[in-house]
This record gives sequence, C-alpha cells and structure tokens, in this order.
Amino acid sequence: MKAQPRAHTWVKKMTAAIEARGLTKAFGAQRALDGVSFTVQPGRIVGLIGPNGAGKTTALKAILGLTSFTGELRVMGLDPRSQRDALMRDVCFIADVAVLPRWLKVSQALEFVAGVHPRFDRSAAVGFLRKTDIHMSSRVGQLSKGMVTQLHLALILAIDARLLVLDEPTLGLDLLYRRQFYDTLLNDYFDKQRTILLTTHQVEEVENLFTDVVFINHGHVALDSPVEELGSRFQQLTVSAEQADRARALKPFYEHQVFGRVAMFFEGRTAAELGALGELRTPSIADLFVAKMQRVTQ
Amino acid sequence: MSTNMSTPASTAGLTVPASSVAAGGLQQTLVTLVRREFWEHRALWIAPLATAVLLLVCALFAHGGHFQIEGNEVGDQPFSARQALALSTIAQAVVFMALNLVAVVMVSFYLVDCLYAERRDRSIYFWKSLPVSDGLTVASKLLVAMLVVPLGVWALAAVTHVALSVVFAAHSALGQLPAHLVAWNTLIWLRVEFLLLLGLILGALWNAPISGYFLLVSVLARRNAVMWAIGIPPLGLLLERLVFGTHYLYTFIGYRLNGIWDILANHGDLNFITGQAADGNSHFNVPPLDVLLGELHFRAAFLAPDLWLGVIAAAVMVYGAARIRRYRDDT
Repeated sequence: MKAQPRAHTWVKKMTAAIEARGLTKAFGAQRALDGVSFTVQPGRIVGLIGPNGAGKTTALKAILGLTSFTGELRVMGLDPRSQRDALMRDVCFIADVAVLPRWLKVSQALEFVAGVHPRFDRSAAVGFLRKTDIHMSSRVGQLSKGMVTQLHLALILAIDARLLVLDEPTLGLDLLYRRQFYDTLLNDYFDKQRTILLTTHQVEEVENLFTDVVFINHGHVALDSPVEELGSRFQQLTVSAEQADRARALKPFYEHQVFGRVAMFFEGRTAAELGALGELRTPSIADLFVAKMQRVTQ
Repeated sequence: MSTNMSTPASTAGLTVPASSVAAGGLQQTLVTLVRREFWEHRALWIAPLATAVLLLVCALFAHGGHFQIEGNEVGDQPFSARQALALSTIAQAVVFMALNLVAVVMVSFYLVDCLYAERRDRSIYFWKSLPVSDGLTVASKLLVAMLVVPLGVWALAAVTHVALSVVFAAHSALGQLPAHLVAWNTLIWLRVEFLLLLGLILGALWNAPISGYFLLVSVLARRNAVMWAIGIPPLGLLLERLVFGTHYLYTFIGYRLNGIWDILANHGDLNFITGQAADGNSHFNVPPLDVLLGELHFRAAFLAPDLWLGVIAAAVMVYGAARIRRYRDDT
C-alpha cells in the first residue's frame, strides 16, 4: 500500500486499482474527507474501516463517481468524475443495503442485469439463488431484508468485474449467511485479477479475509497497511499493574484495563524491548482498530 | 448473450474489449431499459388495455341501445352506405382518442414519477451500479413516453376498432342492429389509421416540451413531484398577474397546448366547416373521416417553426435532466 517498501517492486508499476491523493469533501463546515490519500493495488481485498460518520461512505461514493470532491482520484486508471460510464464496465458495487426496488421481481432482476451487463453470468446468479429460499416469481417487496441482500449479492457476484466495492454488504444478514457469503466471496469470486474494497462494522468476522486495512476517522486515514505487516509494526503487551509504569516508558499509543491488568499497544517496538515486561502478541485488527480510534478521539 | 458466457473465474484473465461490449449491446440495453419501465409502471399498458376491453365489453352488451343523431333514431333514418362508413370512421377516431386520452394521463404521471421514484426508494444506487449511462437511462424513459406508448396505443386502438366492427357486424347479423348501419372499407380504414398516426406523431412532437418539463421536475423534486409539476404553471400565472398585472404566460401556455391544432385546422378555415356554415342547416351529412382528416394542413403543421423550437427546448430540458441525474449528490 502507500509507499510501503515491497519485495516485488514491479507490483507498484502495475496500474493501481484505486489511487487517491488528497481526497477532500466538505458538507458545509464539516469535512467528511480531509486530504485522504491511499492506494489499492490490484488483487487485494481491502477493508475500509472506521466508526459511523468517519467518511467511509463518502470515500466510496467518490470512488464510484457518485459524489463530487476535490483532490486526485484514479479508479482502474479512470477519473470517476468524467469517465464514470466507462468505469462502470469494470466496477461493481453495493452502495447501500436494500436499494433494490420493491416492485422488481427476482426473474426481472436477472433479466435486467443480463440485458445491460455484458459480463453478467446468469447461470452463476441462479446458482447463488438456489442456495437461498428466494423464488423467481417473488417481488422484492415480499422478501425479508436478509433475502433482499442475498438477491443483491447474487446479482453482483455473478458479474465479472475488476473491482468490487461493498459498503456494509452483510448488514441485516444472520451469522450463517454472513459466513456463507464471505466463503463465496473468497473461494468462488476472488482471484488475483480482482480487487475488493469492503467496509464493515463487524471487523472481527472478516479479519482473516483482508489482505490490507485502511482505518479512517474524522476524514483522515489513521492507518494504511497490508495485514501481513501489522505483526511487525504493532505489538500488544499485557502487563501487571506493577510493570505498567516501566512499560509506559516505552510510549504505548493506547492502553486499557483488563481484569486488573493493563493492555498496551505499541508501534515499532521489538520483542526484545517488550518481551520481558509481560505477555506479548500481535493485536487483532479489531483491537488495533479500537486502539487507533480511541487515540484519535482522545 | 448470457447463456454462452463462461463463469466469471474462467473469463477473469481476459479483458472484454470495450468495442465488442458496445456493438449490438446498445440495442439490447435499450430494449431492456424500455421493458424495465413497463415492469415498474404497469399502469402504462394496463390502463389503455383495460379501457379497450371495457369499450369492447360495452359494445358486446350494447344491443337494445339506441343510437341517436340530432334527436332522430339512427336506425329510422334512410342511411346511405357512405354515411354508415362515416359513422364507422368516427367510431375509429373516437376509440383512438379515448385510448389516447387515457395514455396521455398515464404517461404524464409516469414522466413526473420516473426519475423521482428511483431516488425516493434509493434504487438509483442499484441502477447506477450497472454500466448504463444517465443519458441512456433518461433517453429510455423519453422513448417510452414519446414513442413506445403512443405507437402501442395507436396499434391497440386499431385492433379495438376492428374488434368493435366485428361485434357490430355480429349484432347486425343477429338482427340487433339495422344492417345498413354497418359498413366497412379497408382502404378508407387504412387511410384514417395513417392520418391518426400522423396526428399522433405531431402531438408527440408538439408536446415534447411538456414531456421535457415533467422529466426536469421529476429529477429535481425532493418530494411531491406531482404537486410541483401541476403547481408550477398556476403559480407562475398567479405571480405574473400579481407582480406585473399581465397574462403573457397564460397566453403562452394556452398556445403551447393548442397552437399546433390551430395550424393543423388552418385556423378554422376548412372546406367542410365553412361549407357547412354556408349551408346553414347542419344535419348528419358528414363524409367518411378520411376526407375530413385529409383536409387538415399536416404539411404546414409539420413545417411550423414553433413545433421545432419546442422540440429543441425539449431536447435542452432532457439533456439537463440527464446531467442532473449524473451529477446530483444526495449524500
């Protein structure tokens, strides 16, 4: 990701799937995006993670050419402002849940997408739907919220797109289907030719899915890193109350109490520095997210 | 198209050239977009169809009813074949006008609703996730309103009139209708159909600015699109009246509604009308409708500069609607 040293420098020469420089968008006095920069390389699954109102959706809408902004932005080498029509041949997205119109029949939805999208594989969509309780003759208005999402996902996953953008795709789905969806996404859909950008609240559930994470808060990028580098960059140390002050001398960026002990988060420390003080491990993305977000708000 | 496509995984390595996507795809896309409109706005085809069926049902059970013209029972009059034919062509035009009136009402509501509803139910995010440009989307809606529905109604009216003629012939054969009232002439029927079609095209072109205005309201309205569409003209009239004390807008709207029909009828100076007026006693002596319609000044109407100025104004409004749909930001 962003100017990280890489083993294979040729990767950087490939056209980035998304390249954002100084993305800014203000609603009145409030800045939803304040100079956001990040790069998404092709063949990655990137989690865009942030609290409500952090600017995630605004960033996604800018990427999809659905909102105006200032700054530089190239998506699949195209400008989403002026080349949106061409861009939509390569990009597919779910911008929001429950946006399928109530009057649409399931069979009509299939027919419509087949009619307008040259890269839609109807039989694949039918295959996805067969695993659900959705009937071809049903109207969207008759389906439950979860079923509408299932239908939308079945349509989108059957499109052979280069970049897939998903904003909270599993909102309102039960755990079983969420698992099933992420399995499908990873096993059947994802390959090295595709890029997936995903936002979600349920970070714990998709930790293993991401290759990269971008934390965003108050319109700023708080963290932008490949997941495999998180281990060498961040350390979570759990120490007893007595050891806490010694550990604090090494400047954790966040700490919180756990059953009388203190969990501290460090950036750029080594196991040699921290190991002797307490229990050391690599923080989970969810813990790291909380730590990073708390620090920004403090 | 979709049937011969392989799975996403196997095509992943291949890039489909943009040109091959566009070729042949545009027509298919447009057809799909137009079909979509009839899925959503079912009233567009159900209402005219129901009206046609209603007319036919009425005709089926119309036996025992009495046709009266100028106070006399039609059946009692010595009726020439020519007059019977005139009656048939009048029925032909009346059926067309009835269905057309229903369609115009439906199409008006449709135009006001089509770009507003997709924002109201947020389905615009779904439509916009597919490779269909805003221009093509708006064009498909205009195509439905100005071409598909009018032509469909014209064809439906033709079929309905044929069916009505068959019903009347059957009534006559069963003795429920005087035989000399029933007449048919295919050539004249075709001529009337052709003239009605010309009138239909003329009307669609003349009313194009109204269609454009409806689309513009539809794309702009935050709520109550129908109220805005209906409310703006009277509001404008009232404002002009109060502020300037004039009524230019009233004259203008009146002209934009009726002007072309005035030109078509040569400002009332048509032979059959003036002829009748000179004659003084108007009794039922109308020739078959194709003769009357044939007197209309279609050439002058189609060449009227105001017709084409209106079309240009409509094009500007439709282009504006497409641009607003593209760049509108409701976040």
